[in-house]
Formats: sequence, C-alpha cells, structure tokens
Amino acid sequence: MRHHNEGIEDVFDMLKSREWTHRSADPQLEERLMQEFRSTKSQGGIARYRTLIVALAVVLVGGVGFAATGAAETLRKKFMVMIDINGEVSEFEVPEGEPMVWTVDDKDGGETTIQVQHIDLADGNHAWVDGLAGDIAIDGKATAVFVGDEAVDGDLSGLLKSGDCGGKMKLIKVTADAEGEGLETLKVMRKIHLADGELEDIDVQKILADAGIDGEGAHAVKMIKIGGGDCAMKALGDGEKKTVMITKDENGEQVIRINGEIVDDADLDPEIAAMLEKMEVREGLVDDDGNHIIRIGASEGGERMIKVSVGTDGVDGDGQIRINVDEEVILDANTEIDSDN
Amino acid sequence: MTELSIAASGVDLWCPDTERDLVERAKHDSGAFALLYRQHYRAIAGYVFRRVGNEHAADDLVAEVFLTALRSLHRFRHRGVPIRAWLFRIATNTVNRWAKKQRRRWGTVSLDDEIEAPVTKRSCAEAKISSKAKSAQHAMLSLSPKHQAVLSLHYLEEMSLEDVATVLGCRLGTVKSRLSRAREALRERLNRRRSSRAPS
Repeated sequence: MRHHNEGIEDVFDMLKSREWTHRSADPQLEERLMQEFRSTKSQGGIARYRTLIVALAVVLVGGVGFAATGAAETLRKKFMVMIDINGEVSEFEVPEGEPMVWTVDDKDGGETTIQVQHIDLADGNHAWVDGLAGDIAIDGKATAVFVGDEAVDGDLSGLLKSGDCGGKMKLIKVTADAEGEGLETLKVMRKIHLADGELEDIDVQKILADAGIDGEGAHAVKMIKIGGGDCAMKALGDGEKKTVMITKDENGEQVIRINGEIVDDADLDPEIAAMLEKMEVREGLVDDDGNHIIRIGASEGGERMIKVSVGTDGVDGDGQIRINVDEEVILDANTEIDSDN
Repeated sequence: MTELSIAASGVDLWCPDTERDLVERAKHDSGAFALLYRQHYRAIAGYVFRRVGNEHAADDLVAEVFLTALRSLHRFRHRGVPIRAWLFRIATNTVNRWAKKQRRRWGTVSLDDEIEAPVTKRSCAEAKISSKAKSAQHAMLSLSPKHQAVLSLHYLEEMSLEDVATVLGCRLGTVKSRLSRAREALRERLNRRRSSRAPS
C-alpha cells in the first residue's frame, strides 16, 4: 500500500496541485516587453536584409583582428560562430551573454531567423543556434532546427556547424533517427588556422581522383574555405593554371578574383563557371587527430566528406603540403562519423 | 488541422481565425502583443512553475520565454499550430536549458533548498504535504530535461499526446516512446529513494 501511495501517479497529482496562484500577469514584465518591442521594431528593418547583415558580420569579424592586436580581454569576451546553411557560410562574432539574431533568405523565397547566443556549458563555451524563431531550409527541406544541446525531432537532414573562440567547432548533423532525436554531434573539430595561401598548392585533382570523384580530367577545381576566410580555388583550364578566389570587396560584396583580378560573373570563363557549379571543396576542418575533413558539394552527388590526413611529414622540400585521402564518407541520413555524444 | 486543447490553459475554445488576426497584429502592434501576453501568461507561468518548483526561478524563466517570443514572433507562421503551442515549445526549451544547468549545480547544492513549498502557512499536515511535494519535485528534477518535459506536458498540463507532439515538434510515436521511458525512469528514481530510506 505504501508503494502504491508513493507511486508515480501520486507524484503527478502532487505536482499538478502546485498552482501558479500569485498573479494572472506580471505588469513589470509587460512593461519590459513593451520596451523590448519598441527596441526590436526599430531594428527590425536591418535584420531583414541579409546583405546588410553579412556586411555587419564582415565588420564584426574584422573587429576580431583589431581586438587581437591590443585588446585581448575584449576578445575573450566574444566568440565566433560559423553558420552554414545550404553551403552558404557566414561567420559572426557574438558578444558573451548577448543573443544575436539575424535573418537569411531561404531558397524558396522565405526567410530564416537564426538566433545565436553564448552559453556556459560544463565542457566549455559553446554557441547554440536557436531555431525557435522559424524554419531553416536545409538541403531544400524547410525544417525547424535547434543546434546546441537542444535536440529536436522531425524530418530533418543536413549539416550545421557551430564554433567558439576556443577554436573548437562542432559538426552537427540534423537527422530524423529512429528515436526521433533529430540532432547529433558527429565530430568536434578544431578549425584550421593557416596563413592565406598555405594550402594553395594542394593537389586537389589527386584528392578528388583518389576519392573516386570525377574531376573531368584536367578540368578540376578546388575551393577550400579556411576558418571562414575567403574561398580559394585552383582551376586548370586549357592547360593554364589559374587561381580563383571568392572573396569580398571593400563594400562587403562577394566578388570573384582570377589570378588576383576581379572578374564579373558574366565574364567568367564558361569552363570555370561550369566547374564551379559542378564541384567545389567548400571547407576544410581538422579533427583532434590531425585529420582534415574536407567537405565537398557536388551538384549531382549531394554532400560528401573526404577525410584526409596531413602532418609535418606531409610538407615536402618545396613547401608543398601533400594530403593523402584516407577515406571518403558519403553523408546521408544513416552516416555517422565518430559520434561523440 | 490540429486543435490544441490544453485543459490547464484556461482557454476552452481555440478560434484559429481570431488568433491568426491577433498574432499578425502582434507582430507590429505592441498593444496586440500585450494582449497575447496576458492571454497566455498564466498558462505558461503555471507550466514553468510546475517544472522548476521555484517561484523566483519561474519568474525569470517566464520573462525569458516571452522575450524570446517577442523577438521571434515575426517568424511565426500559421500552419494549424496554435500560438500557445509555440509558446509552450519556447517555454519547454527554456526550462530544459535551465534544468541542465541545475543538474550540474546540484552536484554540490542540496536540491531541497531550491524547491519551494507550495504552502507558506503550515500546519503539521501541511508540512507533511510540503515534504511530499518536495520529494515529488526532487524526483522529477532528477530526470533528464526531455523526460521532465514530456511528463509535465502530458500529466501536469494534461495535454493529449497529439498536443504534446505539437509542442515538442516531434512525431506521435516519439512522444509515446519517450513518455514510456520517462515513466520508467521516474519509477526507478522513486524506487531508489524508497530503498535508500528503508531501514537496513
């Protein structure tokens, strides 16, 4: 009888009886909300335009370099967040304890609002992306997404990443698994910190060929994104070696440079333009074992991850870095990479 | 179209057209947002309070819930989901984050100190009830936040399984299996507590 009385139904009855009785609404909170409402509305127009927000991000990211030169204390109180939606990567500096909200345009013409805020976790400081605000289109699917420790359920697929100023980055895969958990951290990786141009001589053709990816013979293109910096590509067309950079100009607008010169999209070599659309190495990451993870987006092949290794013995006498392909991992709903939680 | 019928919410009839109009106005009109706030404050505050068992903590969390809602309302789209379900989802995630932090803190702090008694003027009988309430709250808070949430929404807020699925944004089957695991986990906690109290 004693056990019956102290069973879970009694727990529920006991807790259910705890009514919120002291007031029907909080006038102070209402006033605070009204103040916040006025403040939010005055800033709302800005948040709707991604271009402006990206420009803001550029300014903020640029500020890190400034802070690093003489204000280390300030730098420690901020952290970097990298968001990748449909291959579009944006990096933001977020002040500690303050949420940052911005809006991006979805492919379907809609909008996605993303909120990023610094929170303290036992294992260090991490960013989280709060999808409460709306839907994020990932791989063409509109879905509500929470990134961080808040897993959600749903028919989700895709990849998001979060990072912090400690150089850690979580590669997070959004899925709908059997448990409906919908979110898993595949790998915690360190961001690559390399000087500009350090990876320019990587033989990407070899990487792609070794990985079984058709680079169309001599017309291989690489695009490696390092830590949120510019995208650098190397194109081999007509026997001529060209270096292609996707970067931003002084106005924060994305531009394409070939061998250092800005070219208009319309003037882009058709072969290069076609290769750009067909294949790109979007990003380089390195895990705790020194393995590089290079993410490849192929228009007809979906997302691919190539795991390669590189180390000090991979640098030859000419200063070139040799990368050996260890394995290729095709990312689909059933793929797991060293799940760490 | 799913109709969220939340017994503890105080709203007997959900009128989608009226609500849609109010929500759309609330995106631009502070008065309309204030009305939304007043309509749903009690339900959300009650839910948060029953989850955390502490009035002061509940006050802070409820403020966080409505501030988040205010900042995110322009993204709310009508897809047959009542605004209250959306608010409950925000509240659930807000409390879950709080619960995770508390579970780490409680490694060094007595949980009983964090939980307020439901009554302030105590007779002996009331004190006994208070003790049981603390014990019940303690058992619930020892569960994972996800398990706390599904149990609270279904058993304390008396939502149907379909409504819980709507709030949590997951499939009905997921809710059922999670609820089953949560009940089992709670039963295990209670048994463990009984064993520890039993004379050797």
